[in-house]
Amino acid sequence: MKKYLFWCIFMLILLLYNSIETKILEDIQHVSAIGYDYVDEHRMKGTAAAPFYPAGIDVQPLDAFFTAVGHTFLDILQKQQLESQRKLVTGRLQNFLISKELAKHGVAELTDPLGRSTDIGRDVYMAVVDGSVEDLLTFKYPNAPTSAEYLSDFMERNLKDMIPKPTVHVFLDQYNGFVQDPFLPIIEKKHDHIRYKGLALFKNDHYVGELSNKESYLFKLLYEKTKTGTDQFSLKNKKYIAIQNIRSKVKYKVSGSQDDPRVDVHVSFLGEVKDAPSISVGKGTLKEMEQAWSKGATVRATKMMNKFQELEVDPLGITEKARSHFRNFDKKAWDQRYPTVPIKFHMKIRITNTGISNK
Amino acid sequence: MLKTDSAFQKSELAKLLQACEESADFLTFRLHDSPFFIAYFKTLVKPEIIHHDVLACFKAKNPSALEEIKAILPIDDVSITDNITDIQNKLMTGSLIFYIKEGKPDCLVVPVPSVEKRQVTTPETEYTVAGPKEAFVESLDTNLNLVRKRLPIPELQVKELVVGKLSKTRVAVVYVKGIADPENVKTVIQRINGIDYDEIADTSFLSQMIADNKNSPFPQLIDTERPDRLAAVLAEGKVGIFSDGSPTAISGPVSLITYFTAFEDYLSIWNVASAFRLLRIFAVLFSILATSSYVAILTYHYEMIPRDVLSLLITSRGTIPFPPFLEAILLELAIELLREAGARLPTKIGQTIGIVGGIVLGTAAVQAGLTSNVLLIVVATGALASFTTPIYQVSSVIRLIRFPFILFAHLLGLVGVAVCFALLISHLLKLTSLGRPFLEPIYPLRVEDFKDSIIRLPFSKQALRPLQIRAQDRQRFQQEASQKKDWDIDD
Repeated sequence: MKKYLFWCIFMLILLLYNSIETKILEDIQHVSAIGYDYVDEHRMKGTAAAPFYPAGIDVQPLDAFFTAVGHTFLDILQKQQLESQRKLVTGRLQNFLISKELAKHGVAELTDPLGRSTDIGRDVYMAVVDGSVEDLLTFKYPNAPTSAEYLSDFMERNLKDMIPKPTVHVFLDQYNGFVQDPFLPIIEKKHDHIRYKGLALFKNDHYVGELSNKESYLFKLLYEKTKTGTDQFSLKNKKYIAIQNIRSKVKYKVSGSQDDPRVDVHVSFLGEVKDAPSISVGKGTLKEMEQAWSKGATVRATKMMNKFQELEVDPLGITEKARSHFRNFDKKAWDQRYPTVPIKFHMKIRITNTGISNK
Repeated sequence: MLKTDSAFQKSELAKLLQACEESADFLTFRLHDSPFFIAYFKTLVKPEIIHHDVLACFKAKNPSALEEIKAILPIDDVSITDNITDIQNKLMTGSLIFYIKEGKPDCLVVPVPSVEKRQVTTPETEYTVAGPKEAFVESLDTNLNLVRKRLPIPELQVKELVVGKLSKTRVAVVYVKGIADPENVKTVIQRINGIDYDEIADTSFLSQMIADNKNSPFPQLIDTERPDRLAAVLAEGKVGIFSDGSPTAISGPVSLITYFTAFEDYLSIWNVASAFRLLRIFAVLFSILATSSYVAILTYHYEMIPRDVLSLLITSRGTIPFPPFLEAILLELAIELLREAGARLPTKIGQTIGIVGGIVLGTAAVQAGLTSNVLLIVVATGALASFTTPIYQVSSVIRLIRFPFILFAHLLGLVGVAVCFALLISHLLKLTSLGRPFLEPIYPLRVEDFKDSIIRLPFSKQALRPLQIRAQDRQRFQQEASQKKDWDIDD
């Protein structure tokens, strides 16, 4: 019996072996960034950056790009394959870019397969490109061996401080989910560098508006609790002060009835003064700073919220908070009411540390 | 030279003597005009005793009967017998015999053995930095002496058996009566008595012959060369087995965890010891899984490689003409060859081979583009990790079971590694040691035995002996409330 079982397993393995496709590491070409431009109503142009690694010790990877025009994600990949010397695989994909033009026309066809594909990992960063994706991807940047590497580092490490993590799965979750509108970072090619420009706001799968890069840090404060980043504000006498975030928390409180809802947003911010030129920081000035910040931040947040309500987008997920508050939540009625819902911000700050600026 | 006497000629003794006389080292002679003949193997006896004591005494008193000789000889354990097998055994273990060629074929047997033995030296395979430095030697009596010195109680019992048709090896089964499970002792004695083999050279022979599963690569009785370790396991209730001519003792029943316990663990403080024990367990798992995971990931699961390692791996594997499987097998075989050659050669050349082989094979294989740098590191670390096990025999087992893992990884990727691991675990689950479960305390789950398995708790927590051994008396000591004074400033 035992022998019988053993040989059964062994045969099964031998049979299965021929049906599994091996993907030996150096025999495939890894697409590390992929981007799409708008061509016309039905077609788009895909650019895949798949760096080529020459053999040897201490060698630099070479830039390699494959472009093709097609209708869908897989169709374009298939056409890109026609030019590549090895099999193109997307298992190590790190960046997924969409041009602003394409985003305005909707990205549903493009992102749908991403959600279903088993090849797409968890940490694929997504961004909207202001301008041509092809230009941004294929440019030879002076500060990195390959443009894909620059882009990866840029997205993964740099943007972390400024905006909530913009991965494909977060995007798909927001887009497919019941109650939230997605948002993505906007990047652009400026001279010979990539630059973060702001936050793109989506209504369903369409680009509808954007926040500036200054506003995006405030957006992060309102969106989730964070431990990173610095915020800058000015006192009455036009002195600018930078405070570093030690930790911040945000809490949403929904009250009232479904017909007359009210939303209160409480942000508590624990900060440390990093830079306060020509200000002697004492107890009195600290209090003044705290007041100045919360006043300024409330104004900025309200302004941002008005923009959201005007555009009828809900990137902060207020609908979700309302849904969990009210029994028998009526989504249609809420969507109509959303632009007029009063939303109040309570920005509380405590500056604990004045660092080296204390005299 | 011999006067024929038909009665004597027909006796069994004469036949024995005749058979012995064909050997060049057998001496038989008559002393002057006395009726006694003396016979012995000169290679087995101590000539000084014969010349100074036996012959001198004999000449001075000139006795006329065997009983008289027995009375005057200054040597004890002298006997008169006509039992031919007894005589033969004594003759073969270093005795001289007096016999007369008239009347009854009686013999006076005088034991004058010359025992050649090595001095007690430091342990070599189980060396510890701290702790006792004695190791067993090839002499059974010395070994028993070393153990008895550590357990000076009458309850320490030794059952002596003789095994092997040709070698007639003395085998001693040692246990502490009242602690060891009598059933274990019975099993061991029964199995040793059941051995039918011509020559027993070492306790490893016994270990293989009395193992529960004779086809398993895992030894089911652990061998040690440390008397302190053996004394410790005897006190736990295990059974120890010695054989004459072997510098190692084996003990059982054991569990898999025993492979990861060194005696040094008990010499250092419990938390440090536990950390090193965990390290060893990790090392063995790493050693088994490292190369196979490398093969699996590089062949099937490129998605798992972190971004920063990806370019490193691709560039270093770029020139290699083989798939990862062949690459890994080549390097693993090279390291196995190196290890085997190093072990077979004399120490001085062995070291040279190690250095030359390591450097030449390692760097040259990478430069020639036969293996990648990363694999070289993986394989070398794996090899290093496999040698952290304190029991030498187990480390070679671990080195061997890597190969099926690599093969499975090549065939099915990480699924194959998982399948192979499942097979390994199911094999271990079925194993027993003297009828006791081998994977205890993990399966069957016995939580209280964890106090000395994956980690070692302090001695104060070890009031009960491990359950697996089924000791008759489980209590090591009475656990009482701590008598320690916490703070004495107010006194």
